[in-house]
Amino acid sequence: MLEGLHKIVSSDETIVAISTPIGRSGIGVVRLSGMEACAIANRFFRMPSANSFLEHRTAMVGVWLDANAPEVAEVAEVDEVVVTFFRAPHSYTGEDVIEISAHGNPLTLKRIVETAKSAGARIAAPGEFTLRAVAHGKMDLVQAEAVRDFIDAQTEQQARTAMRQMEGGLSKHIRPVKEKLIDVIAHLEAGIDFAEDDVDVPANTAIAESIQPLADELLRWEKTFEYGRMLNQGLLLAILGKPNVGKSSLFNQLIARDRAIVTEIPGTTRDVLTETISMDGVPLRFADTAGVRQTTDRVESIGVSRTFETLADADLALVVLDGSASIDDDDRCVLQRTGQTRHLIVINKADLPQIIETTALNGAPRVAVSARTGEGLDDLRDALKSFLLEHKTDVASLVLTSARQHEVIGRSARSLGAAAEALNRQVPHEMVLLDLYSALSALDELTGDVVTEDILDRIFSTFCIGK
Amino acid sequence: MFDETYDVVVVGAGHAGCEAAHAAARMGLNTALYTMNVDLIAQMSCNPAIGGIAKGHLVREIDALGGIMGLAGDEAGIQFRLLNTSRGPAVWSPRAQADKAGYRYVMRRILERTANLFIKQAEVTEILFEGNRVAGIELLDGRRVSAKTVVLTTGTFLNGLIHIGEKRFPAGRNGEPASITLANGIRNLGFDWGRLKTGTPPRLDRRTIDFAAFEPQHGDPEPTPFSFRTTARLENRICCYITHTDEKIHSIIRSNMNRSPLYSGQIKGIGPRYCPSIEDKVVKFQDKDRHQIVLEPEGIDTHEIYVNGMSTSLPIDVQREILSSMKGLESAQMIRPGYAIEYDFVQPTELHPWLETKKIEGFFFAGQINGTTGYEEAGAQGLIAGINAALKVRGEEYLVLDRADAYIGIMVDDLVTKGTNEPYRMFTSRAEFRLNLRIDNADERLTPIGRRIGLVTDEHWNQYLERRARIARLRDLVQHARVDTSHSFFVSRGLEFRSRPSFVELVRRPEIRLADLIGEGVIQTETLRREDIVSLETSIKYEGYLKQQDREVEKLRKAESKRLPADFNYAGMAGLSREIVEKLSRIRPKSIAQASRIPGITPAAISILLFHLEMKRNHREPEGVV
Repeated sequence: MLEGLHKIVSSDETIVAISTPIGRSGIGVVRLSGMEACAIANRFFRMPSANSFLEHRTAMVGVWLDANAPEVAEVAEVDEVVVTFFRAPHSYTGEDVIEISAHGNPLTLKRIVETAKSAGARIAAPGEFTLRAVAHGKMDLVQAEAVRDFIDAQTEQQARTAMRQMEGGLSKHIRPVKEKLIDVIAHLEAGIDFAEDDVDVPANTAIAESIQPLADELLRWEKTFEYGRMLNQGLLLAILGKPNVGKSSLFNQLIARDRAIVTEIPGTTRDVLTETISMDGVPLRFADTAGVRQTTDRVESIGVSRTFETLADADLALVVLDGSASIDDDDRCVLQRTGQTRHLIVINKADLPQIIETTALNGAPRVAVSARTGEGLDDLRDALKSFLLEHKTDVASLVLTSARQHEVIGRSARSLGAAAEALNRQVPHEMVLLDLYSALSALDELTGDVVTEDILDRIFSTFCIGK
Repeated sequence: MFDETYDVVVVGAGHAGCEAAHAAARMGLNTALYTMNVDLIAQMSCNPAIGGIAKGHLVREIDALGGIMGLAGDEAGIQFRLLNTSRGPAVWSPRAQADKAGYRYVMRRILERTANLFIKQAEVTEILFEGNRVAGIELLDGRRVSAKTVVLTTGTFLNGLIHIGEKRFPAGRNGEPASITLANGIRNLGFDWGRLKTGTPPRLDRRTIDFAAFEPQHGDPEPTPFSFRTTARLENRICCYITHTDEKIHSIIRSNMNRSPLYSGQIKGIGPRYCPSIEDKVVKFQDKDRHQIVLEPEGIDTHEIYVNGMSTSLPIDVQREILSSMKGLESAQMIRPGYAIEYDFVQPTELHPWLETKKIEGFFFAGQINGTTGYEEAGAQGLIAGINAALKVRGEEYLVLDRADAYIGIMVDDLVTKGTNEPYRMFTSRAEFRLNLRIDNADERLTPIGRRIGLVTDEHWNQYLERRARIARLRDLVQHARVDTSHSFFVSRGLEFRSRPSFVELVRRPEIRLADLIGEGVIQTETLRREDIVSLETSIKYEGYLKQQDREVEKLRKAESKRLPADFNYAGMAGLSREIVEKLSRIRPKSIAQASRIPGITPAAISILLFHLEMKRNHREPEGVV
């Protein structure tokens, strides 16, 4: 039950968090709640005129500044943003709330959060906005539970998973494991507490053998998290290459609309653009990046460094090469920088005569396309789908979607493993039980149940105890 | 107006009453102990034994705090066994068969020799109040006794109703009158009353039993005393006898089920699941082809034998039939029959964690009236109630032990937080921090507390200091001394070392026992108990588990330190369901930790409590909501 106390919150502090899923749209929202929310906004938000002030329920366009950044205009200006103020108690949380809508670039949103932190705000604990809303009577608990899952559902597959969990899908899987675990605990406890009654306790090896499958099962679930995370947050696919190889054209093709500006001029794309599509129910975020080359242009070089930041977060890099030209030093630089990331080589301009020497690519997986004619794009999509399949899981109906579930299931599995191992080492049962209870209380954290009486009930219904 | 005046009046001289009266008097308060029959002080109404698994822990803790059950158990004990020694020392528990008459005698002698304590024989018929404060008691003969605090320990006497087959009659214990007038008076105070049931088996005449048909159960060659203060060598003077029921007996029981008041609907009270009657065992565990029966002598100077495992409310003729079908008991004579008894209890959620009722100031409850069962459970509550009644008169802070302090703390917390629906008994599985709550460190945990409140005598305190010093010296030696590897101990076992290991390194090896090292003279040590040596060894061998436990204790203490104000307005808190508000308002938990243990209080509700607690601490209310 103590485990339930992990959310120890202080109402005194102003909290901040990115409240839209990262990179999922062109717009991202950072939310501030608490006493200091207004003061923080006044400090970093440059309003359209000196006479402007934050008004309840009024959106205002302006610039978010990073007061801590060096004195360079384009660096200090974090982004053009829309700020909306909600005065307590007429807000989501019931406290003063500031909502900052910026462009959906994760780095931009992170910088806004950082500025708020530098002014004393604290990163919100998971669910803390909702908890404050509940504590201020803005919503009841049942609503609160439902909110989060629906907010996140972006694709149909996601919505199905969220629905399943709301209907207790996870609990339904946990319950049988928990039942077996309670059974094991009841046997060990009965052996200790009723040693004087003739209670049969199985041998240590037999108990260990009954625990191991439970641990294995939980470990299998733990692995579904990667897939769950993929469903929830989507995968980030960075499109990289030297300038003018057709990254933006490919990007527009993949997202099926003209989002990026395409010109003949190398270096047109200077910042990272992201767009999300759904493929097999999985959100794929494509990031169109600035072309990589040696440059002295100040703005372009900032663009290039952002390209590499995006690469660092990417699940897959699409390295675009020009099929109608030879591989040059800039290409080699890109290939070298993507060496550490999973990548797929896309040889573009397949509609032109091909000059590229593919032997230099050492047999790395590649697809030939023409972003202009659409030729080969189905091959590229198939390649992406097979990449998704690698993340699929064999546990058909259960997918862990939150980091908390993942952590808790993993903890439970490790405790069970430790218990099985200890039994084989003949560790006394009252000690082995520490690990078994940890495993059980972890599962209870997910189902919201309570333990002790369950154990005694089980003992009394299983064994004829008493003189 | 009043005929007599006391600081503390204890009503009832069973196991709870004796501890309560002794503690209050020992702490210097003018104390009176009222009983309906002074010859039956500390009567063991059921089995002739003290202690057992988890119960032995309670007795040790009573003793460590300065209570008397351990001393009396040792002196009146006639067979001693340390249970569960095949497991780690955390779950070792002492148990003793006691001479029932001897136990009454020893207990009465201890009480009579306690300064400030006056034993009185009279029936208490009424509790007197001034407003919502207790003022004293009234006796059957009309006398009125003034008291600053009253501790009520009425056992099964409140509206006690005995059932033997189809027959039933009011009684407190078999052969003793129930307290009907007192019960009626207290009934009107608005407490949440319930009804429980318990039972006891028939008693037989030793001379009519053929013991050859049984398997003897002997005491330990080295008896383990309950009390840290017992220095006399304990002696096993009797033997118990084990046998089992069989199908023939089960079929007799089944065919007479319609005559059992348990199954005819005559008994309404709820009995304990861990101490079922023989008819319950047969009905509920049909796949079990036998049930254990243990014959336990009720004393040295009596032929009376207690038939452990055969608690029953079946009619006397059926009891006879069952017994005579058992091998060795074919011609056994019954001295008294088994019976079931129903009695009133008060939901212990009516109590503060110091066992004072929430409704009436100065009024304390202990023992079976709180829904518990067992001498040890009663004694432990009596001790806590007596201590707190005394502390209240002194105007000092109450003593509340927490779940990491003692089994006593766990029991009281369970009772006042959760209430109970069946007679409550202690189990080690109720103790989350079981590895730390051992019989060998009960004194370390509790004797300083007993000393601080004035319950531990100088002599007891000195014994305690000496004992802890002996243990500390051994620990120091084991931790710091280097091993003489040329000792025959290692040579004879073929153990070779590259360098001289420390004893700690040595003891970490699974095959090395600290007791053997001491036994064969590798380590020289003073007289210590086996439990002390094994406990030290365990703390070395299983250090990781103990540290894991310590981290859990820290978490508990942190949550316990978040105190909930007594005037917290749960009804005005947004986000709490009506059911949760009702529970919190009724139980009034003292801390976030206690609140989290109330059945039905969800982690989400706890988060909301924490939030409001924080808000209150900052003297701010959420705007426009509350």
